[in-house]
Amino acid sequence: MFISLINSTRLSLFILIVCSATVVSASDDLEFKFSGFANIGVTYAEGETYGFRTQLLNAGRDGFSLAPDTLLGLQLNTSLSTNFDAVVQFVIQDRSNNNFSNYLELAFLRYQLSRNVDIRAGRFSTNSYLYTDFRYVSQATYWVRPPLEMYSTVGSLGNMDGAQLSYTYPLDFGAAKISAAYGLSELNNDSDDGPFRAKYEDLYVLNLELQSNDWRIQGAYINARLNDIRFAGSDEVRLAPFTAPEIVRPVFVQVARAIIPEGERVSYYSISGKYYLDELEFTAEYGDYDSDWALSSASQFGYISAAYNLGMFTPFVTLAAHNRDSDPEIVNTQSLIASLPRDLGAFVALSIEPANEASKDASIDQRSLSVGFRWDFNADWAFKAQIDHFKIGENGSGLFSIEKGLGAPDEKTSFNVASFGITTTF
Amino acid sequence: MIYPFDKVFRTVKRIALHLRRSALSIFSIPLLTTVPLLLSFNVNAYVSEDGTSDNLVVVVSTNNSTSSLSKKDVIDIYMGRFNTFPNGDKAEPIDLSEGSAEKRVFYEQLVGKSERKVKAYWSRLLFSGRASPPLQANSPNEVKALLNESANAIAYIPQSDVTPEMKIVYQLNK
Repeated sequence: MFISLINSTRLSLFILIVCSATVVSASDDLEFKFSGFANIGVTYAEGETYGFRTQLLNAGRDGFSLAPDTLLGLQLNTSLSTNFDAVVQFVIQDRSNNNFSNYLELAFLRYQLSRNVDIRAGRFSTNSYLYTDFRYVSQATYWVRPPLEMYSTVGSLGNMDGAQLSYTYPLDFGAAKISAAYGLSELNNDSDDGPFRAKYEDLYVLNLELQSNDWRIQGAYINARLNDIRFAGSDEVRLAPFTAPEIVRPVFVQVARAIIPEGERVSYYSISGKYYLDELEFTAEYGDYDSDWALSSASQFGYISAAYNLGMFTPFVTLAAHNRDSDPEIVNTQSLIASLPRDLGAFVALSIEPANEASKDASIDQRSLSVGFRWDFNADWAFKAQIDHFKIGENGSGLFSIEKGLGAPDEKTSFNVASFGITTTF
Repeated sequence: MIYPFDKVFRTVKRIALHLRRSALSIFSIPLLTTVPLLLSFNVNAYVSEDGTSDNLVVVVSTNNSTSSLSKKDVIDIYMGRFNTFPNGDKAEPIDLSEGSAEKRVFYEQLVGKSERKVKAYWSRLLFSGRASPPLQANSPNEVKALLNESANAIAYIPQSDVTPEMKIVYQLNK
């Protein structure tokens, strides 16, 4: 199951092991603590078109399934000395690609320079959104899972391998924390045709967090350069501009750049807030993603959510949306065919259509309404139930998988998912 | 232009009060029995098992160089914002066991949160790798032993349990 160690993952673990060994050899204060979290969830996804998944990195499932919301997190905290500590966390879940990297969430060594300043090296969260760094810990939220429109795409940019410097400043109302991180991240996913891989290099992240007892506000900015994009047929796409007839070469260049934009940068920014008003809890987040990648195109997304605590019961409602910047079409084949000799036009259209289809399959345009409740029936366990109603735009079903042989529906559709399960920490 | 957030919050609070009244009417039967109990509870004092009222205090070992803390300092330590005392010395907070009256009153008075919310809060901090929760002691005697062991330890106990080896650095209901 846990197969190939990839470069950045290996680097994070190497840093962690070497530095830990160095510190441990000079330390008498070694302490270990094991802990974990678990969700056992059942989902029912209606219909025969879509497969439900909670993240783009997971496999889609229809009908009744335990896979989307069932996971096990295992964490080891090690205090190496007064100022050194290390954290390793694995999350075992329904990944469609079994690369080891997809299960290693945290693996960092932290050194506390002063009361206010600490530095981390290894694998750590990008804190891209309010819940990114604990999105799998259902015990810490009232939802069954954080809203898909915001969190399904976190994927490989949910964590990164590199170094991070943080400064925490005490304020009258609470504290402010500023962090800057630099490193890289890797996407390891599967498509119907095999593995899909990409690297986010020259990745830098800036975070600002403000918190008091009653509220929390966070802003984040992420910027990275795409590189080493590989999937079945990627070499042919790269070569196409060099082998295509002169007259249509610009079209193939356009397609190759849209599908394999190596060297191009992508960026995210987000602003998030949470506010407690007695027993009421409000959460709102907004994110903006900028990219020219046809398989992960520019979009805006966000949600508002409210929950009311009634003792052991916490009912909630959430409205969420994910809107793309533009329709998913790399080249308009109809106008292209009309401008070319008939045989050449047909050849070009046939060659380009798979790229257009891939872009449509990946495009996201949807809104959702979710209602549910959390029941803390025990000090350590909670039961949760939730119903999600998704309204999906034309060719906008990219958050879900499509049944084999079907393309993304080119008309508006809806999709309902019912979920319930139990969660705990230990 | 300065947006009138205070008006917004007042409006939201009115809605919250309305919702609460609605909830009270819906859930009136169980609440009729619990509300009188809640009203009779004095949140400024910890009620010990023998029924006597006592105040909770935050204490450190007499070997600790800290002489006093503000409420904000105690929140910073117990809610994982900082893992040191204001002077930079490492802080090792100690919690009493889950379900104890002392723990419930301590967090209600300190941050106005129930034990369940505090637990959810610490789930977030622990599994995001940000901080580790306070060490848990199962009895006031274990707290005393831990304070004797480490000059960096900090704990909350009933004022009547304070010994000459301890130093009160903060009193919760002052």
